[in-house]
Amino acid sequence: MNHLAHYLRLLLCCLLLAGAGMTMAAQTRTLSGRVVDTRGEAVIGAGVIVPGGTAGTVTEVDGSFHLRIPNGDVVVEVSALGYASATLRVDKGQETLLVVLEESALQMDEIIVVGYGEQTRRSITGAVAKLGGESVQDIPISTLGEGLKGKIAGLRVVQTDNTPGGSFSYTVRGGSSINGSNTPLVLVDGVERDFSTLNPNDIASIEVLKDAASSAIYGSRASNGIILVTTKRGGYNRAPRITFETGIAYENTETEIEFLGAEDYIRVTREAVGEYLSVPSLASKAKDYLIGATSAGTGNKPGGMYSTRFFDPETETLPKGYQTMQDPLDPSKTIMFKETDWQHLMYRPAIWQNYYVGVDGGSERIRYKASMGYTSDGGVAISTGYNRASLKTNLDVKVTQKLTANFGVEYARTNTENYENQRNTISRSLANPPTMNAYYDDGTPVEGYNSTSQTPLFYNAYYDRNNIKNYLSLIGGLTWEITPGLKGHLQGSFFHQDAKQTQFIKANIFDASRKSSWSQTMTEREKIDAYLDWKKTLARDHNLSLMAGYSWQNRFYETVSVAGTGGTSDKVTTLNGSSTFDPEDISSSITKEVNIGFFGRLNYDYKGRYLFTGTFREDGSSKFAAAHRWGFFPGASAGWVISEEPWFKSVKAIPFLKVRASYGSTGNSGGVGVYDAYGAYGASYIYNGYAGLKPTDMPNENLMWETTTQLDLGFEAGLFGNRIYISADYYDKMTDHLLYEQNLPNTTGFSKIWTNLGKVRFWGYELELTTHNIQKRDFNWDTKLTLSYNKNVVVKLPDNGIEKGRTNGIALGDGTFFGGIAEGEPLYRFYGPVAIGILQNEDEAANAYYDALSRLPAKGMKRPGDYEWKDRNGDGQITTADQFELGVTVPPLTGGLNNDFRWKNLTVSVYLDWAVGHSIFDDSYSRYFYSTYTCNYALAKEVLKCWKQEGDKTRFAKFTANDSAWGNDNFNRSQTGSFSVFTYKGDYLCLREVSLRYVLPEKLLRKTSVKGLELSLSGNNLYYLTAVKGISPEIGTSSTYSSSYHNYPPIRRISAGAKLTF
Amino acid sequence: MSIKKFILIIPLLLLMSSCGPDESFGSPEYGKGDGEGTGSDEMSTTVLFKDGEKIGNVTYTTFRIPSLVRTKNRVIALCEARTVSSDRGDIDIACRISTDDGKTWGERTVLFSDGIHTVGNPCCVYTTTGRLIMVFNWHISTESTSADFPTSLGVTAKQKAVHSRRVFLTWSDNEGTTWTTPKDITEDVMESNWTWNAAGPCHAIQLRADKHKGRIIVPCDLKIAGGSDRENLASYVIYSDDDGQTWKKSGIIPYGNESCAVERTDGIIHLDMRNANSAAYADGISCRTWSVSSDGGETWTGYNYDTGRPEPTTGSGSTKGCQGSIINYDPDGKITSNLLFSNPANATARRDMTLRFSKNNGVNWSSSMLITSNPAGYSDLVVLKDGAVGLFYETGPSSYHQTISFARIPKKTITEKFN
Repeated sequence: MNHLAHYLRLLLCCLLLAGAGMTMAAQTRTLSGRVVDTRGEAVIGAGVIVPGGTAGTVTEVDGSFHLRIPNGDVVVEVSALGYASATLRVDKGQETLLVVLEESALQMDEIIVVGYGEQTRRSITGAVAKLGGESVQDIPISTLGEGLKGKIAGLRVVQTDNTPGGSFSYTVRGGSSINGSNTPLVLVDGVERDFSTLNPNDIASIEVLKDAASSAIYGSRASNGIILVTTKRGGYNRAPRITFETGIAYENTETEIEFLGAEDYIRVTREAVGEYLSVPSLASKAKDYLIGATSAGTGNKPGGMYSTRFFDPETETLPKGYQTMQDPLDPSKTIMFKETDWQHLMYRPAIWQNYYVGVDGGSERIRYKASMGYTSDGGVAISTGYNRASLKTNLDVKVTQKLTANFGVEYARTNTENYENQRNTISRSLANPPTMNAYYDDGTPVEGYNSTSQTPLFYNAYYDRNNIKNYLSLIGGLTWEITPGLKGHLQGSFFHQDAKQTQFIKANIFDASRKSSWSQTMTEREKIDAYLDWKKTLARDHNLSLMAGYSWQNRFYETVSVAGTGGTSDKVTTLNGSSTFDPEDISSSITKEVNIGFFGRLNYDYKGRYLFTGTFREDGSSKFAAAHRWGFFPGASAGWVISEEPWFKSVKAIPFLKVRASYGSTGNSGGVGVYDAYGAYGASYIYNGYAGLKPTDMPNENLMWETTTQLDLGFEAGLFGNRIYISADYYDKMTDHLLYEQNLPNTTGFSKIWTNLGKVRFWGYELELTTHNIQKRDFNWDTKLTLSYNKNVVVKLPDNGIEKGRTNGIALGDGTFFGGIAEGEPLYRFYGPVAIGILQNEDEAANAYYDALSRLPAKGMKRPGDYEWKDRNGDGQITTADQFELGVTVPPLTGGLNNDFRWKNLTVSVYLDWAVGHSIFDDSYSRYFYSTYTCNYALAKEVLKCWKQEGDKTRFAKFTANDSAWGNDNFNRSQTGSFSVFTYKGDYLCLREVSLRYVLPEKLLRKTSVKGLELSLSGNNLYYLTAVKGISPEIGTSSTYSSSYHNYPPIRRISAGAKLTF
Repeated sequence: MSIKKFILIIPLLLLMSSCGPDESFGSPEYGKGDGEGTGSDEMSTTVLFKDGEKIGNVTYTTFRIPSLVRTKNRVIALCEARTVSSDRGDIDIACRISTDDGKTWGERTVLFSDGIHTVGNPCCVYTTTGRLIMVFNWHISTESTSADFPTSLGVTAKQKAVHSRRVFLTWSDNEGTTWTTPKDITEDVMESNWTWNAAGPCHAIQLRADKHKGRIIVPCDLKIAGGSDRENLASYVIYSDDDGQTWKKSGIIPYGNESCAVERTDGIIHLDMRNANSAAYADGISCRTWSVSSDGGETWTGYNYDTGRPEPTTGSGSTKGCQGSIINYDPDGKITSNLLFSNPANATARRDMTLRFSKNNGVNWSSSMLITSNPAGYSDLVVLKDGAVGLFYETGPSSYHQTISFARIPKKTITEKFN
């Protein structure tokens, strides 16, 4: 029957055409052609019309079309979803046309993934940002986080640990809490998991749900925003396309600390120590140092730890590798020394590699995408490294016209080598003086000053550490079109992640116990999501959609750790070689958690002009006791698409204008421990030789999640033919029931209890501006700018008897306090003494304030060259009360700017990002001025800039040997920690990515089976314009020496790569 | 009272009257001078020296600074016999000898004395050649006048002007019965600007590993001119490679104080030191400190904290911490990785004398044994012939220096702790 109809149609066409051809006075002609995209692929379903007329058609499966157009010059408009419309002129007599459509990164009809559904950009009333997968491709990054910095307004991405495979911190709109968690909920294809193992090539899009209306659908997990990652799927009716990509990068540190070289170190130290020869109380110590076996002393023996000693040119020959210098204290003598550059023994250039192969395609009923990837980072710092192998498949099957099944399987395995204690292995390791030998005569590495300041070579020789993680994600789902307009969705997923950390320390001078440790953590999440959505248009203009659903998630977490000592051989690194086991080293634990939610959403719009969305979620979490287990989280948002108003349509310059507002309530249960509400017993106690249980945490059955209500006002506009797109938001969030640890009287037997007391407010602005500056056939220039501004203030704190509820404040001495956290004041501040100048001469020194924080706290004990400190309370003394705000650790203003230039087949992209307003106290760097360890600690090159005589204008006080014991603690304000001299502004501008991509012209490849070849040259983390050196300026901190700070330097990568498609 | 109960009492009374009045109940008391060994499976404690006892016709106010050494056939317990209660003044070196492996002890004798001056810190080692070597300190008395010089030990006024604290060497080839005339080795082992040297106080060791076999190491501490500020303190060792004839100094470990050395199975020497670093205590760290040497004690690494072994903040005067002793448990005469350590393991005060056991050369101290929770102070350890361990330690019911007692811990208890 169908065949017959088809033939009849064909016959009719031929007759018509014949008829038309026979007519001499024909009024129309047929335009035939093809619509393709920039890669030459057919665009299916593109609309081809003659504006103003009634003629119009849609392209076929191969992109071809036939259209009746009037004779003469005609203008034809071609448009397709996801592409920029093209307006073309068809000349008189022209009967064929090839149309090339540009993909558009932003479109009013762009599909945005929202919680449990999708909406078009045009119809969204909440604050949702979207980044396409192509923004994180073609750059030498190992994980997604590295490519997201500054690219999404309102999302701050910071790499907290630059070690290969290191951790990231994500905050949306500043977070929502003080003591609770500030981490957003991350879902990859609906599965809650960490996305660090995803290969950037597999990512289709990333959406961030920032306001309450869009995120309330996730209820008690939503206060910190939601990040939704969608991975690529195949395409129906598409021939298999194979993509092969490879990249190799050269990587090295982007910034390093400048240390004094050996000769300067010896000279500066000897001169400084020499000054104490004339001070009676220190003369003998100074002399002992100068003639002793020290890092700048002459008493070292050949083959010892330090290389410095006297050299007599008459009787000795200079050994290989040694240099000589004059003894600054006795020019008639010569000192010999051998220089060791510890920093370059620690950091060496490394190679980063990435390989990816993917295949995608589909038939009429199946579409598939499968890929495998391997990434390897050699690790710039010695004994660090990362590699990852991953496999991912997505499969969709149209079982029937109405029933689709989808499957996803992903497996990834990472192997990371990192430091046991990064602070010691980097900061203290580099503190070994440049005159310390690298190896002893027998070839063994010199151990370093003591067990916490080992040399990098020693650490590398004796420590074996490995962290292997496995990730498995299994997803299965069904989508069923029950009736037209009513769809049911069911998705079940299983996610398993385990991490195994092993370590073996070979027998060495500090520790001969051969400690072997093994610990493993495992997380499993089972999830079921089921929802119905129903779309209906009433009376032509009223569009309604309803969604209702149920979600159940079970999380299981297990840990095991074992360690043993006493092995007899370095070759047996596993526990079977150990002979001694300490009960404290052996433990295991299990936790379980269940979350259940009922949710729903209503979308209504009138003619696409007036938009309204309401959502709710009733969420229950097993973390809370019965009374507070369930919470209700509603959200509502409304929008007005002004550009749809008939009276606005005449404003041609603004084809799209929408204003929107949203308000809603979300919860944050992230900071609550799984058993905090129920109380806990500790099981690892031993009393009188028997195992025992002891209550460790008092239960609080009233404990509940933190609740955030958020208001968002925003507008979006497309200008000048959508060549400019602006999205701007103002938001204001208030978090109530803040998690707080309240002190308990010790008669209770407990010291603290978690309660919900307190309120904090976060507010700010966001801007996203995308412009297509130049759009020509051969040349394009696009720009994207994001800006985020975030501020916070504490609104309420528990009553503790101090004004404003201040906690952790600094006492002024008169009963009042400042600093810490207090009502009406912002978070994240840190304080310290401020140096106001350097005492230039004896007079000034004698009249200086009595410095209770220095080593010699007596009036008149200051010396020329010491700092004078600022007195806060006017009492003429410098005490812990004399501290001022040095800065904040979180930058209020961040942003990013991307520029893409395309000239024919060559594309150049330049991406910059910045953060302004935070500060860093570089504690670790200040220690390179201390000359501590009795003058056996490396010195910074800036020590040469220290004050030397009256009139010197410099930031640094006089350099004294062993400042914290023989000097006046100028560089070591140990009682307060941070102080102004080494507090640097963390403001930075980073040339984050530059890439050059060249797509080989099609005709060169015509004879081969290769469909496309792209060559690229790109760089990541190329340059930071900032004040600090040797560390990343991205993380503000009150101390770079604290054990929670990671001082691995930022790594720059320059790569060359190729991408082939078959 | 009923008849029944009365009848029961009679046998009871009869029973009680048959018990002799001189039946002794309870544990050994303090003051019972000449030790009583009880069963070989229990720890036995004997008081060897007590405040106010006489040796000869001299009454000593107190006895302090215990030191132990075992020779082929004897166990010798030494200490300072003080007529004064401070570290300076008329102080002599006293000892008691046991010929039955620490079970019973002979009478108290004075080994060395120098009139009103101080001789103390006896630090001994019994070498493989059968020679018992002792290094001890001499210190000028606060009441001395120029008429006192030269002293009976031969210290001249000129020498004393350079170093008022001196180091002497003596030895005995008959296990302590007679000793050679003490020889002054101060100039070899002290720099001209050092104002203090203290040998030990504990025992000295002789290395057995091939690399520096036979080397004698005497752990010491020093003070550089300038008072008692922690910056002036350091630890070091003096060593001799020729059976004690000539001596050299090692590199110093700044901030160190009283120390004790032990040899590890890998040839590395571990020096355990008193933590006198007041800055550490200010930071809340009151624990033992240590350093290691891979070249037989000639040079040492910077010092490290061992937070698993607390040490009392309250020292004497301004110097914090307390002395401790460490030995290698070598019942078969061979170095093992089993170490023993003793000190008052209380972070605030000198009490709770504790013996700690390490199976892995001092990296972890896996078990411990509380010897007494009374006040306790300095101590020294020795491995006895039958594998038991002797702990000679200051203790007392109300003050740590009231007695110096000897605890004999049987081999069975020790091996249990090591397994």
